[in-house]
Amino acid sequence: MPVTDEMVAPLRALLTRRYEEHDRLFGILDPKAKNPGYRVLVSAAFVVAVERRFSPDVKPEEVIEFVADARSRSPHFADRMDPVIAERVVLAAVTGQSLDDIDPRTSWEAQSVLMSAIVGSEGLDDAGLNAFLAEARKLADEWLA
Amino acid sequence: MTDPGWVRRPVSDLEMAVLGGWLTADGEMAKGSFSDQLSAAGDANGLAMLLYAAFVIAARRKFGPQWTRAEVISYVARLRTELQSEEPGLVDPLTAEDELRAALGEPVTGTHETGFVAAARLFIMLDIVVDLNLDDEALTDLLNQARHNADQMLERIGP
Repeated sequence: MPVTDEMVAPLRALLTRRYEEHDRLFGILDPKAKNPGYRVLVSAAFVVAVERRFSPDVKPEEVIEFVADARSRSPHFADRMDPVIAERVVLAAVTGQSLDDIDPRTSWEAQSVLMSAIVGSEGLDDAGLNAFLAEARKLADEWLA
Repeated sequence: MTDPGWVRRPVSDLEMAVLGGWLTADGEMAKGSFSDQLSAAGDANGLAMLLYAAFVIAARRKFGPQWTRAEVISYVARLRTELQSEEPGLVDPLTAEDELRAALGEPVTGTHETGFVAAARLFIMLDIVVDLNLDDEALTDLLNQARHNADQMLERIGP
């Protein structure tokens, strides 16, 4: 099942901070488009974002500071996101470390928040956001194939 | 039912020596005093309370009354990055943030492992005291204030 425009739409809304629109667009997806479709798309977007933000030899200290910065911007995220898990999720995307001991839903939620934080910090214009979404969609299609 | 491990008594001079050893980075002195303390009293209640009192004093000196959650998060992250090369994982971030917020007066409901709590209090206190760059007199004042507060808490909470 390839990624559809309907799956990309709520992600675009999320990344442009139109949260109610995100919820609405996500809500009208059919069950398979939500899972695995949208979930895989978000995970792919996370990997693309992390690879843009961090080099392959990233140091744990950089990740600690990045996660702290993301959490300090929002009390909501600060409460919901365990920094140790968030740091491991980022490092796993770069180094391939195992996340087998982390609940998949918790891992996915951390990916979603951190991906939004990275993309938000890049200050992308429409063309930049389109390019990012296209790259994420391509990777998601590879995973879903 | 009385906790058999709890002994109601004020902070001892040996416990003060342990904390003083930690604060002046005299690890051998702290270790020796801690062993002496355990041999003499058979418990570490006073030391635990003394450490907590010193931690609260240090936290309140470091963060003003207008402290923010973001400042606490950033501070703990900075501390962890400094410890990362030698002691990764020693300070659990959520434990450290909750301990700091509680010390600064915010109701915190999270519960954490005792070992993480003790490590968070100790390393935060040490970091802040080093950062404050206290002279001998100011350090003695801090220790005495911590002892006073700890004695009051020990008197109140008992078994």
